[in-house]
Amino acid sequence: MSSYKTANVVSSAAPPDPKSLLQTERAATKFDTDKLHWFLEGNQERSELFKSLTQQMERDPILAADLKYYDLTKEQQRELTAVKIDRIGRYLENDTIPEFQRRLSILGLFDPQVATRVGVNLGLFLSCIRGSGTVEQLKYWALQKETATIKGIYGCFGMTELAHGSNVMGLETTATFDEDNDEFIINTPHIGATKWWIGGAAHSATHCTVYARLIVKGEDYGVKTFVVPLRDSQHNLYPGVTVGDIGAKMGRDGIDNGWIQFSSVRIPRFFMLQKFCKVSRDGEVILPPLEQLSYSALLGGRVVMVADSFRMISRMITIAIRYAIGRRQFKSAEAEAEAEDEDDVKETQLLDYPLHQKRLLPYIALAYVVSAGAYKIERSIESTVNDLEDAVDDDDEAGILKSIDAMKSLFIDSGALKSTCTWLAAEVIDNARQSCGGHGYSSYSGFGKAYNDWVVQCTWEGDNNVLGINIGKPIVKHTIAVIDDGKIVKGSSAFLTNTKEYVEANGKKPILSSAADLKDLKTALKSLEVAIIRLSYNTSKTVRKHNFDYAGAELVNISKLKAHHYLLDEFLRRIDEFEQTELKPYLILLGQLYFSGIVVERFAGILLTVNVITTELVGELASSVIPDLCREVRPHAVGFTDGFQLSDMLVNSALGRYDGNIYENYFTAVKELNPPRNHKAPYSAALEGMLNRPSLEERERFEKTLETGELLSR
Amino acid sequence: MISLPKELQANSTPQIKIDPKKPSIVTNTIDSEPRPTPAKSIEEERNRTNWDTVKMHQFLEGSPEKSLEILKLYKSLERDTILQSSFEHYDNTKDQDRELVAQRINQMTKFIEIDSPKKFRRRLNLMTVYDPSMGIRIAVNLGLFLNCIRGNGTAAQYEFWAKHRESAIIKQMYGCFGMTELGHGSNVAGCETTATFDEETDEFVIDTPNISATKWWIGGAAHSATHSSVYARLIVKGKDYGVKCFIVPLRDSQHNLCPGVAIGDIGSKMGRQGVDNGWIQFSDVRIPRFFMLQKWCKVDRHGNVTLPPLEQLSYISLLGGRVDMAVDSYRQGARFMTIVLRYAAGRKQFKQEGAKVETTVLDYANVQKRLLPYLALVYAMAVGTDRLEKQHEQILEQMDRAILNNDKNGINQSLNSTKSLFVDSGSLKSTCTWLTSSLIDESRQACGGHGYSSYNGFGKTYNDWAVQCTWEGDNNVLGMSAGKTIVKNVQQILKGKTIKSSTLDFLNNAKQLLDTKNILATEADLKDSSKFRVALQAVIVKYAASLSDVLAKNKNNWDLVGASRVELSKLRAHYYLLETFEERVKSLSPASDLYPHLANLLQLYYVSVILIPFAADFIRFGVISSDLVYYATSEYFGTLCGAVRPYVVGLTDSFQQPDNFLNSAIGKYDGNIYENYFGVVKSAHPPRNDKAPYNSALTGMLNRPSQEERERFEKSAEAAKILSR
Repeated sequence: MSSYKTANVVSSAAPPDPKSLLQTERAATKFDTDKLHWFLEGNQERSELFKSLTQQMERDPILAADLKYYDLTKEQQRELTAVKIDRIGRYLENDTIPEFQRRLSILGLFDPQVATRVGVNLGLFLSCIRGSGTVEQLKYWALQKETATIKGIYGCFGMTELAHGSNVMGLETTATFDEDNDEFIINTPHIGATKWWIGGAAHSATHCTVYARLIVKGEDYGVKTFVVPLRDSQHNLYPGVTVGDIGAKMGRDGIDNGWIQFSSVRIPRFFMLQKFCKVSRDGEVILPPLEQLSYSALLGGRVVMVADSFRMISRMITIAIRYAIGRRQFKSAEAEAEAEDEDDVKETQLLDYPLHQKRLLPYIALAYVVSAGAYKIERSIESTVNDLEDAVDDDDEAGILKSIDAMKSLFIDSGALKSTCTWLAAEVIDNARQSCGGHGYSSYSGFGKAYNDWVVQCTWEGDNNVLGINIGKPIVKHTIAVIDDGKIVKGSSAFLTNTKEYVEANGKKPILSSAADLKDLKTALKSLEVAIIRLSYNTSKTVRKHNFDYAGAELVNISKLKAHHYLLDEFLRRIDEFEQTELKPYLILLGQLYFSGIVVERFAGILLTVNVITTELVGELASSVIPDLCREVRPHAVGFTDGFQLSDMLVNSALGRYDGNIYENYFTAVKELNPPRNHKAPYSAALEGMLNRPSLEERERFEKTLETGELLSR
Repeated sequence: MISLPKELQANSTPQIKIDPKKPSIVTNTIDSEPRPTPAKSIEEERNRTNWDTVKMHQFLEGSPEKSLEILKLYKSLERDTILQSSFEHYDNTKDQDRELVAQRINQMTKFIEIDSPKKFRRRLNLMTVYDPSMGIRIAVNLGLFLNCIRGNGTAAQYEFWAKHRESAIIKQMYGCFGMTELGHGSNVAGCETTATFDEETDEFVIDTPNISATKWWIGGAAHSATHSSVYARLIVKGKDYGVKCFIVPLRDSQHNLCPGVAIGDIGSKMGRQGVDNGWIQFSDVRIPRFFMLQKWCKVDRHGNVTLPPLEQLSYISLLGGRVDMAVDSYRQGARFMTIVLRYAAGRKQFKQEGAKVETTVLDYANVQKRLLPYLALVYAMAVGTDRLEKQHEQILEQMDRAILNNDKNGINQSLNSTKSLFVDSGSLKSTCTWLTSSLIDESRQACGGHGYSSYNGFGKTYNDWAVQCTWEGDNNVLGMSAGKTIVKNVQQILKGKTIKSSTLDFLNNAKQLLDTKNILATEADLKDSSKFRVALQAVIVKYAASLSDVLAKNKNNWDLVGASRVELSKLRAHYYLLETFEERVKSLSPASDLYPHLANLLQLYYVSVILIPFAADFIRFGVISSDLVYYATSEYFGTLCGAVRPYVVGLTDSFQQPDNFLNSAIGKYDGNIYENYFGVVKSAHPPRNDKAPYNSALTGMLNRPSQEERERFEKSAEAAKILSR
């Protein structure tokens, strides 16, 4: 007979003990997870700032997230989001800009809709004014009108239209200059030009930066930007402005996305943003050559999404790993073979299965590698934009040209990284969910909301496929120029200059031919360069035969490989300069798993077709290289995920808490949020009425019985 | 009107100026420029259709009768005021969803009383596509609960619960399926709930020994179910006989919980919020001995346990669900292909140099390569899952007949067929549900921002769908199991055995296949579907043989090759689909209007869904050269897309799914994308309500006093002077 045991509750058989499984592994961690965090965040100082900002927010009664969050309706989410924005505005009044950016980045991890709703105002609206407006215009709207502290006015970003998304040049809203009144008339000519998806427009925004075609004296000058007031100080809509709520979405229901139609709305001429393009009092239009630079406003968002990807991957993988350590399932072949008595074998921890390791551990490595790339791209946008603005202010032509080159590299790198990393993060969320089986489907695990909130990152601010094509294209153009004119390529694609060494007669030589090559990260980096060279070269032939459009799918692949090249390159550089030398072997191990388990694994078909890898090695990759690397990483899984330094509030998952007490935590949350005392549904009468309904014959008033049959056929 | 001199008038010039060159255009509203005309574009594409779409539907569904039945059911569903879909439902909260589903179940029970079982099953399968919560809530009762009784109970037990107690028409009682526990999902044999025989009272005592044995995720348990089939360890006289099934009443006829039964709501989920999944804890709940299901295992009055050899057959009850999910994949895939391809044919984006209008999205090669492989896949899944459905029906009939006549030979044969159905349904369920999940996601992304709007159907469907990959056999677990069977079969065949009455009999050529080299050698070979099919056989056999080598070197540690087993299972699923698709296309006359289109889709399917994604396997096993793969990827794939592209509207119309079924604002038949979508948004959220209910929170924030004022000016220079004195 089993003995009943009293702990916190009475059990008649021993309950599972996931908690001590996690704690035991944690205790065995051989490195300092705090120092590992320095690597992830860039340095010790940034690591400390991360923790102090997190502490402030997890203690803040309004900002902190909890599991209740997953039960909120759309209306509740919208209200809570508004209240949180108000709260974050108070921090903003005292934060420095870098501090606030980091605060927003962390907020974006546990409450992305708040971060977006703030980001639309401070990021898109103000960046648009910064990118396209004069310094005086920026000062006026940002400081004098206090938008910069979310006070006075609230901006939204009126770019996309119902019938136009990615193609900004094709927008159809018009801004017609009325010389008599010195005004622009903003107009939505038809349904397709309705501003659509405008975050904050439905209920929050008082002003909008509107992308519209500048029309002066009947001449169309293309799309420019204008600040258009939507609501007055009483928060009432201006005449001629029609705004509506876009309603329910796949995720981010806390954002009040809206649509806007303008019916001949008048704004003063000086509401046009005129750093580059100017319209004078008498309708003379000045179009300077540097206008393309105004798009730098959009690059900031892409850069942020790379860091977002790192954080989201780290959060999701933390949950999945903690669960996979605490959860047991089936008895593994190995465990059964080793045991003397089969009945004594406990079920195996999920993470001890080779398949489970292969499904999850490469994502830990991915998080580490992406962190390095995210930090680098963040620094390079800061310096590039600052250099550019200085050069423009000083009218320094050489400086401007240099900045333009840097901007082009930044365009390629940020686009390749944004698309590749946001796609990967979506994949991680989904696979992490599946790895938690049924429990991953519970809202309280955090996966569902994370996925639904996340996936819009793949289509907004530069659709991933459109970006991929736009990144692949200049690379192939470089290749064509190298082949045709012996061009010397500069910047992050400089390796393309050596194209001839690796194609045609030299096109068959593999770079990766042994497991040792795969693990040597310098060779790995080289193999990516050669893969890009050969793929780009092959694609250039397709382009010559057909056109760029025909090669779209290849261009996207080139962009992905380019992103991985950037990531691995920077990861290696960072390991080199990292002062905590005792941690380097672990980081190198992660780099190896990233390369084999993420990059080669998914591009094996392409690497084979461009002869960068041998067929034998591809076989070995699956049968030994990846399993071996996983086995090496396995003992450090807890340490590596603890290295992300995510507190329970940030993780916000009933399955992924630090203490590893999976079942108690999850069951408690479910009971608290759905008190079992309510054991009948509010609509129980409907169910009971159905079950206890009279028979079909009775409901038919016995009209179809044999008796009635006789009666009616007489 | 006050008359003032012009210079004193506030607005000296008229606000609206009329440009005589640009007259406003009046249609249903006033436009100042011509509007986009997606409906016209789609109409034009539709006019290219040079075959009868109903005939194509008959091909897809397998027969004219089945096609007709489906069309009639579509009509019945779209007219039924309770069952029909609505855009408003996309705004539902969890509680509203649950109530709606309960109303729909009630309505469905009126049909179950008058439909034939086959027709009702079809009705349910169709409803499931746009209301999966309702589908599963009914399927838990009719599919899982009753099939469990059918599979494990005696005929009399089934008769009692299904007919006498009317659960087969969802009346009097409502069943749920108590298998998974908080600590145990896929490993059913590891369940911890106990059913201890009490000989004195001739009862079983059902008990949840600890938290991890809490029955978890039980659909319908939270509020609906009156009974549960409970999987619990049979314990008699201290001996553990493993997991068996028991019928345990949860609620009495007043719908109140029976004593000892604790139940709760599992709460919010990623999707399927309309399902009242619950948890159950039993604290020494007593049930009569005869509530145990005892077709196979029996316990007599004195506690003697009989365990017959055929117990494994009881698992056949789970296969029906897997077959249905494969069929679901086809219908859901068809639904989203219809939506996305109509959108991509109506939407224009970017102007090419010198062009007057923007290019239709679907004319971009990359968009074609992203979407058209899925269209071809859906065609393959249509015919493949039709075959699977028939295979399943036949086995059930065969088995029932054999058991009824006590025909041992027949039982044995059924066992063999069941084994291959186990592999087929497992590999198809996992492969097709995964692919459909990617299909929905890729389609959403192809619709750009609009794919993210709830009213276009992607979000809810993805969320409702995602659970298909983990439940009723987790995809990875199923894939590993199917892969293992394939490797074992190949091992046996290489030792000289021949397999019979199995869909895996193509493996019998293993020896010859192992010796082949570059079966696909020329561009012409790629165009020959039979040759490709043999090439796929070769990849499967060589893959299995290579795993066999790895196993031999690693003490037969099957876990070590887990990932490869899943890959092998995927290849097997594609083989099944390819074989069926090829056979059915070849059964048509080449003169048929349908033939050229289907022939293109068949090639597109195997080139883009099998060869390119699995290129690394094809190359490393020497079935094709890397140069030919390069040709397939960079040239032939595009050529095939180009051949299919002009007919996409007709090819999706052929799915015959009506607007009610699609329930997507941008996917409607008329193609009037923008008007439809805008109309839905405006009616769901009347713009008259231009302020949020929480407006004061926003205005309070924007109009808040300055920080200094809120700090009571305590930090001012003046205050500093006073305080530092």
